[in-house]
Amino acid sequence: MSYTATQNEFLGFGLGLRPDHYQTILAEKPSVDWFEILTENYLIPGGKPLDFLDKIRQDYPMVMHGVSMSLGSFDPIDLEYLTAVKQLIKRVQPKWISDHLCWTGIAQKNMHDLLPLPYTEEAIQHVSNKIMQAQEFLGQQILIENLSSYITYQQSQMPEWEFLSEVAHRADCLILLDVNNVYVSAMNHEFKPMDYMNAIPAKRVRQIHLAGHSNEQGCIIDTHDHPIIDPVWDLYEKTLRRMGKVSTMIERDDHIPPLSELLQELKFARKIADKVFAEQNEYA
Amino acid sequence: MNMLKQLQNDFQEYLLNDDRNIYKNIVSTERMPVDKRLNIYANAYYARLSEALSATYPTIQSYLGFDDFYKLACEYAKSHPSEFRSIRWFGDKFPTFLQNHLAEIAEIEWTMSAVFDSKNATPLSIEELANIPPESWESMQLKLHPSVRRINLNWNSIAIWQDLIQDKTPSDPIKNEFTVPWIFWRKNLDNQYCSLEAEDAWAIDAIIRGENFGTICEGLLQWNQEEDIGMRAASLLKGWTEAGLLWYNADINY
Repeated sequence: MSYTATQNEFLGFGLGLRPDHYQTILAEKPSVDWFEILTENYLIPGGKPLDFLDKIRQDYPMVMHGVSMSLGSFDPIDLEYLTAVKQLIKRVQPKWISDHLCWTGIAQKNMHDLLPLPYTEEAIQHVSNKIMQAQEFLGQQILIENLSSYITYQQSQMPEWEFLSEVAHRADCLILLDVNNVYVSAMNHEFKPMDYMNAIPAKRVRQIHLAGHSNEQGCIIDTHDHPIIDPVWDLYEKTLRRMGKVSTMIERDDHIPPLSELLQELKFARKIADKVFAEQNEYA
Repeated sequence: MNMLKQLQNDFQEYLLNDDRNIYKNIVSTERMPVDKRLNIYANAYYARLSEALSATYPTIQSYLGFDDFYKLACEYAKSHPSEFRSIRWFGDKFPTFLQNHLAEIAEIEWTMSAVFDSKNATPLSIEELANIPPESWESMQLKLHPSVRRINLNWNSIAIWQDLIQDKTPSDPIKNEFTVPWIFWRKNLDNQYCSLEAEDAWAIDAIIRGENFGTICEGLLQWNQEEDIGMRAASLLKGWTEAGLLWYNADINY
């Protein structure tokens, strides 16, 4: 099955849908172009979370973002999980779905963490096959997201950007580019973030994540619990210059502030993008 | 063993059992040696699972305090590695991991979570109940709303749990003289719970076992005179229906 001709759809600027904000969203209908939901939070039989989801999706486009597909795991693809995801897709009708370029456990265990892969030919083949299986089962192209990582395997034969690009090419999947993760990994692995961005095939980048992180004893940890820092905003601007119009969202998973605070951050993202797009239009 | 599988096995063994085989496969730098790099994953593993448990068992965490809860969560994580896709279900065996009143408070919290996101269903209404032909009552098989959960408690754990929810000093644990039956369910998306009389609990458990209404009425003879059974059964049925405990569905057998 080939998906290469899929048209990019620019959704604008979105936020992660979090339970803390359900009531405010329904009451105030804030100016957010779309919401991203965490798939696993809604793989439940019923009750309030799904009720809120059904109501909010009437007013906002949604995308689904999962953490458990474990596409890089040596275990076979989990069809029971994919079946549940497929049912949720039917309910939510997301614009697209995404997961990560990682593994989360083997031998049926789940570490509930996004663990890095060795950047090898063997891993490219393995993860590409699993992405293709997932796409075939779900009947659509999926987006895979780059991780923030703290280790490099001795066995790695190429930089992460080459690995990600090759996987996306072979699996014919799309990319969710997490700008903060590139920044975090660049600091921890001592590479230039723009070397990464320049190597990623722009035509496959469908969505961008922005987030904050923590700095702990000289190491940068991707905690998604702080506002976005200036160097990440700079990297976002440079990334947009290279990638063009890409749907962007802000992820906050911990220390969740009032919605108004995240709306301010989103406004800042819009401002940067407007500037870049205006310059690009002028140049064109 | 295949290289990818070996690396994943060694990495997982490091997280689960602190096995150091993975060390030789990780690049070390002066600024960030291997130990520091891998520690980030180990710390995150236990922090994440402890956080997930505290989300499901917030009053156990308040009762024990953050540090003791964290230690307990790490012990639980070591003995019960997750096999769930969603971290929501990770604490499923936590109540049986604990003892006495703590086990019961955990059981209450797990039950509340299960009720909260259980399957949606339209409860049987009084009108629908009234439409059931009288000649069918004896053989009809009632169904409980999918959110209904029944538990029995031997301690004053509900009182302690309620104190903790309200940020009050928790009552001292006291073992009950008798086991107290409780029922939890959801009505209009909000969780409900109450204790049950022995007769009521027996009848609800009989519905769960799949007994028909005639058999339930016979069972009620343990607590009632024969001439009162009809009235008593009708009163129970009305009470359950008003509470939203019964489920109207096409499979209802009458």
